[in-house]
Amino acid sequence: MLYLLLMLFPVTMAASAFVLRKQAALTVAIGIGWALIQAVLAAALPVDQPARLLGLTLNLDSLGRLFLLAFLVISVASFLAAWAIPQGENYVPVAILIQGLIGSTLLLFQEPFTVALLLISAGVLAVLAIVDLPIGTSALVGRQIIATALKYLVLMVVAGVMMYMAFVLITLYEPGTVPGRVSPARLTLALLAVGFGLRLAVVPFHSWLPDLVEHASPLVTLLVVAVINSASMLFFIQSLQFFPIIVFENDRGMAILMGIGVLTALLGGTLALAQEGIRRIIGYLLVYNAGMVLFGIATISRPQSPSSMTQDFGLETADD
Amino acid sequence: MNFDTINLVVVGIALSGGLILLLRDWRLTLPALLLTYGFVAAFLAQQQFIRPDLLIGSYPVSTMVVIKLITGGSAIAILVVTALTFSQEYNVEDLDEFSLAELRRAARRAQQQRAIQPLRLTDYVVPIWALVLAAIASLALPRLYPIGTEEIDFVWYWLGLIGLFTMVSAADILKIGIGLLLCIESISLLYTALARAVQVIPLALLSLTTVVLALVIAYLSGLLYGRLKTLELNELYKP
Repeated sequence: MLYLLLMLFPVTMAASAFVLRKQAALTVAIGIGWALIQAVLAAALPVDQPARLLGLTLNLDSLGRLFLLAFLVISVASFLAAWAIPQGENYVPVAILIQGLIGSTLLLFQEPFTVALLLISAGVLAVLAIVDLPIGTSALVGRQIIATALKYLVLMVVAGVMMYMAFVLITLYEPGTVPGRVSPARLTLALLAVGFGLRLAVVPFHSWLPDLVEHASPLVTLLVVAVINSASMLFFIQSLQFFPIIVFENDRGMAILMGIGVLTALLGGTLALAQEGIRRIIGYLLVYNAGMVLFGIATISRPQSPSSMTQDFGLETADD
Repeated sequence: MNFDTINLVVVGIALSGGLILLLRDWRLTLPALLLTYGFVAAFLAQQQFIRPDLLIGSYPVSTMVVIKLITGGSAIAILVVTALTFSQEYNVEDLDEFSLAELRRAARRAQQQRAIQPLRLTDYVVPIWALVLAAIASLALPRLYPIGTEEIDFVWYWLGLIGLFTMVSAADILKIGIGLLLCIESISLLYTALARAVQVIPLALLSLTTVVLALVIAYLSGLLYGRLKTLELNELYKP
């Protein structure tokens, strides 16, 4: 019941905020109230006690709870900022809805198909926040903003499609059932790498992130980078943990991912130095950060010596 | 693929997908997308991945096939209504004189563009080669990476690749949307045909994603047309 409440409460609050969206202060108050109540609900939810709902397994582990609470803190901070800085008319309802979807992904990590689709939905909703204008503005939506939104939409849907295909392949795979057949673990890792690479803005799929930071409102950027991207990163780590075959059959693939991580960090850092505007500098620093994260995740390949990432997050590979 | 026993539904999917990739006008691509949804539903009914629980005429079909048809129809309806009405008008009284001047300039430029836009065959070179590439890849990939039967593999690879190439070669925002919808249809078919246990929630979310995606594309199209009086993507990048 508590799980259901945690998933549906944001929808009702987002609807309320949408109805009252013309009254900015009231909407912000609704957003802050929602985040506080959601935090209480998340704290009340028992850790590691799975429940079944409509054939899906819902579970909140300690790491998931930590991320959920962190996301809610970010929400409160962003709503407080929205009080002072004029935001898009629909910022608060869209932010609540995205937080609700991301909260649901944290509960549904054991259902990769559903999570992949929820992440697509979160990306699609973020597009609405990107192109949103404040109430009563006298300016037009910028061309660059529309271009940025379109680029983000296309890349996030493609990322979701890649991830979905990867999960279908890996759930079908039974090692040794068809001798001689090429293992789909490589194709799966490739699809996951492209899917998560697009989401995390890893080179060569990074171009959307500096554009987003430059053209979208800072609070929308915060929502995308700190909430959606962080949840995607956690989902990537959990996917490698739930399907250890991807790691064990892909020594070379993981090494390539490490290389891409290093390349992304180097390129992001170098390009940040070459930028003039502060927003683009931040954008490329975020790309650099994505490279470092990918490098950390890719070191998961040695089960005997858990990587810095798994130690940091208190995760272990399934073999340990 | 065994050509002795050609499956006409698969041929229909191939032809309608090819039309989407080749054609540029939404008056032709949207009906082609509707045909694709129809053929995919017929393919699902024919293959019976999920046990039929309805009787339409004398033909047993699963509820899922009907849901797929309704979802596809809804997405097309959203895009058609968008294409017919297009513009999301700004509240002109709220705009300052700079914004009003920019809107007038965009309208003039779009009018000139329409007046000087002849039919150029060179515009079709990239889509034709993309179609050839998609056909070769869709026939080769099921052999390199066989996942289901050859027919299933061909159909989902074809839909995914046509969707991808449609996006890559698109000149307007509606066509990008059609490409995205084809990609979603591809994974939907893959899941329905091959997943060990097909669950209700992922299928429902796939349908929901299709409809929401169509709505967002419609919203962005309205925004773009309201701003630039055209759906052409190249106008977005002009100074």
